Parts: sequence; structure tokens; C-alpha cells
Amino acid sequence: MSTWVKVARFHLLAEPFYYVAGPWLAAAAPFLVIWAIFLLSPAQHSAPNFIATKQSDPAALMLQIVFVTASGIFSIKRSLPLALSLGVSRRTYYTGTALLAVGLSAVFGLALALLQALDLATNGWGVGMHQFWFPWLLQGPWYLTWWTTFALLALAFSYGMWCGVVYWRWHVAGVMAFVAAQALVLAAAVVVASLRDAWPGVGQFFLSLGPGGVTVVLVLLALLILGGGYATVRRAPV
Amino acid sequence: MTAAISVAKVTRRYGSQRALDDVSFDVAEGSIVGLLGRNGAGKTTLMRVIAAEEFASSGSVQVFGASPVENEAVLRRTVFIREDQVYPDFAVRNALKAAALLCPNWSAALAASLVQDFELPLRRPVRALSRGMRTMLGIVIGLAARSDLTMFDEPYAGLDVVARRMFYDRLLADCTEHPRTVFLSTHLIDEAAGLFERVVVLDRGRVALDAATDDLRGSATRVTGPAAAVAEFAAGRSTWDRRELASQASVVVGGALGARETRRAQDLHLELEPVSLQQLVVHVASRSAAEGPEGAIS
Repeated sequence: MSTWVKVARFHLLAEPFYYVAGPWLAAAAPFLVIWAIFLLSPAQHSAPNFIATKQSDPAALMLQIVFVTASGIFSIKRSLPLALSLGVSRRTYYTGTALLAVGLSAVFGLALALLQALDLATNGWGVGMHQFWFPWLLQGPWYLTWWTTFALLALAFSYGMWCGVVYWRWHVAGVMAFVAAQALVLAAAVVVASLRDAWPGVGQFFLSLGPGGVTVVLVLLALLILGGGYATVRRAPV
Repeated sequence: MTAAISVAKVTRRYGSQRALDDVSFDVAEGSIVGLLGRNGAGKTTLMRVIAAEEFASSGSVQVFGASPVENEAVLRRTVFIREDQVYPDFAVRNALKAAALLCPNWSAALAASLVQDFELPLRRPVRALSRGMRTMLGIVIGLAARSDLTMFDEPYAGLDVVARRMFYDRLLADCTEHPRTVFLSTHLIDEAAGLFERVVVLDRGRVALDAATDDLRGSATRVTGPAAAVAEFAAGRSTWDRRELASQASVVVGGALGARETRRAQDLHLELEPVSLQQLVVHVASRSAAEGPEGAIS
């Protein structure tokens, strides 16, 4: 068995909650709350055209993405020292962890595609609230939903991994500077786009890409982040 | 014999402070070597550099003839258990499964036997273990890994004397059956002295002593008796740790004593007692601060 696969199995052995159960429990909580609200809200049921408007709420999926980001952080922050003690090199560990990220994202994406099918088949879980179907981005065929959710989750996990690597290399101050620098870049981009009145163009660009094209952008971003983490981990002391 | 570890002119700086300062020594393959020194001497930093967990500011480290930094071929042959070893949030049995997964020479039989001897609770989360039990877990992993290079950093934290004795016995027995290089840092010098074929003493980041333990035994002797006789016997010799109480005195004299000197001591009604490894290390450490790396036994 390749050491990469062993590292991926090491993670599942070490902290299965963070990688398997946790993301679904994180999604289950908002899902149940929203479902209960709509179940107990007669006003929603009495609306004559609520099916046509297809209400949706992304809270469950968003919380799952947040949890997967945290799992990415934990995968490096908590388990790297033991793996290095047991004679695994940083880059092998990182690649094995990335393999886990890809595998989990693929399985979770498939599960989300299945949930979307159930969501649509039950007309929003019987209460008219779609929690796994969203206009434009997640409204295509199942395989496109799989592909897009895979990209979102892989991006989240990879970002968490890079934050974990930055922690070992530059500690908490480094992580704060790392996140703050990204926030500044994003804020600057927003300001520039607003000053130049470029938002219609930005929107048009993404619309022209379509959900599949946007997903490709997400995958490229995830690969860029994985590459950044791979380059950073080599000199990270533990 | 080839060197399992070869450290040459290694310096590790943290800002203006030098945790390691021009450290050089070799560890022969198949030997058990002790890394000794006071708190803050640089032992953990040195072991982390050898295990490629930390990076030297200058100098070179070779393990089995190659740099260990991101060197899969070298690292797969090593295991390094730290005093402050960080574990993920899992149960003891999963920690052992994880180690079995990643250590190519893992011995499940040895691990099971050590777990039984140390009475480790397999289902208990590592975070809920006492300090001593965490140390035991590290020992189980380090020994059962049967890595060609096994490094332990202070593997005694929280262990009682029975558990420590068990560790020494099992380490020696398994290394006899499955020879490998063991590099071990400790404060409990006299207790572990019997294990070591060689010791490296670090003081303030520098090598204060690097010698075979056989050469050190008998290299210094405590002489006790009437103050005048002690002074007469010690005249012209290298001495330290002089103590006086009323008419009695004692002093440590450096260098091996021959038959003629032993007879002379008897004639002067003096008692001769070999100085322990720990006392030698204390002396070396205290002298090295004043004299630099040459402050060895003289």
C-alpha cells in the first residue's frame, strides 16, 4: 500500500468524527431546524404558488462546508506531529491528506447529489423548502451537482489544510496575517470593482461560464491552494 | 562501523539565541547512545533537527548517510517519540493501529506484550491518560516500531521506578534480538547509564563531552579521608568538588588510578570510590560553561 493511502487511512483512524460524521451532523442541525420551522408554519403551506417559486435555503450545505474547512485545519494541526514522529515526510503526509480531501469530497458530493434527488422528489422534504437544490449553481443534472459540490468541498478542505500548514510554520500570528491578507485582497477587489462600476461585467462573466464553468474555476482554485500548501509545508517545523 | 547519525557543525539560532552551537558528533549504527544535559541544554532541539522536525540554521545532519530532510528513504527508517508528543484525539488502540499502519517494521506481538506489561487501557482516549500512561504509550510505539533509528526524548516523564526498569529491560532485550540504533535523551543519568555504549553531553547548546561510557568509568575517583592525607594524595592532580567536614575531607581526582596509586591511598587510610556517570556529567557541564567544549574530564 502506498504511503499516501496509509496517511489517508491514518486520518480516518485518528479522527473519524472530524472527517466522516462531523460534516453531516453540522449539516443536520440547520436542516432539521429549517425543516421544523416550515413544517410548523401553516402560512407557507397555504401559499398557493410556493411550489412554483421553489424556496431554497443553503444553511445546511454552508455549515457542512464550514465544518469541512475546520476538518482540513485539524488534519494538519493535530495529526502532523505524530505522523512525522512515525517517519512520514511532510510532503508525503500532505499528499496523503490531499488524497483524503479528494476522496471525501467525491463521496460527500455523491451523497449531496442523492440528497438533492430526494429533495426534489419530496418537493422540499414535504414542506416546500429545498435545502439541497439552489437556483443556477445546483439545479442541473445529478452529475453536475456531484461535480460542483465536490469542487466546493475540496476547495474548503484544501483551504483548511493550508491554514493548518501556516499554523505550524508561523503559528497563530501567521494564520491571522494569512487570513487578514486574503481579506484585504478581497476587499481591495470589491472596492476596485465598485469604483469602476465593474459588477455587471463580473456577473456577466460568471453567467457566461455557467455552473459547470464556475465549478472548473473552483477546482483550479483548489489546485492552486493545494499547491500553495505543498510549497509551504516543506519548511514547517513541528 | 558506519554512522547512523552524523552531525557536523550544526547551529540552530532562534533570533539572537543559539539553541545549538557548532554541534558535531557521530552515532554508530547499532549502538545505544545517551544524550545528556541540563534543562535547556538543547537536547530536544538537537533530536528534532536529527528527525527533520526542525531545521538547522547551519551545518549538516546525515542519517544513514543522507540528509533526513524530506527524505522518505531515511525517514521511513526512523521513529522519534518526544516527551511532549502530540497525539490526535483518539483511543490508545487506534494510536497503536495508526503506528502499525505507518511503521514498516511494526511488531504487533511486541506492542501487545508491552501494553499488557504497562497495563495500558486500550479503549481510553489518549487525552484522558495520565502523564505516565502517555509516556508508556510513547514507549510502546517507539519500541514496537522497531525502526532502524529509534529516538526517545526523555521517555520517563511521570513513570515510576518499576515502569522505568521495565522500559530499560525491554529496550535492551529487544535491541539484542533486533539490533538497531537507539538515541535517547535523559536526566536520569545514573539510572540509564547501564544502557549506553556512548554518551554525548550537551551544555548550553554545545557538546561538552562525547565519550564511550567504558572510557568514562574509572576516569575520576572520589577520595575521602583525613584532610591532610587527602591533600597529600591529591597534590599535583586535577581535582574538583572538594568538601571538608572537621578533620575529614573528600575530593574528586581526575584520571584513572593505577595499582601503585591505589596502594598509596590505602597506606594513607583513604577511601576510594568511583565517580558515577551523573557526577561526571554535572562536573563536565559546570566546567564547560567556564572553559568551553574542552571542559571534559582532565
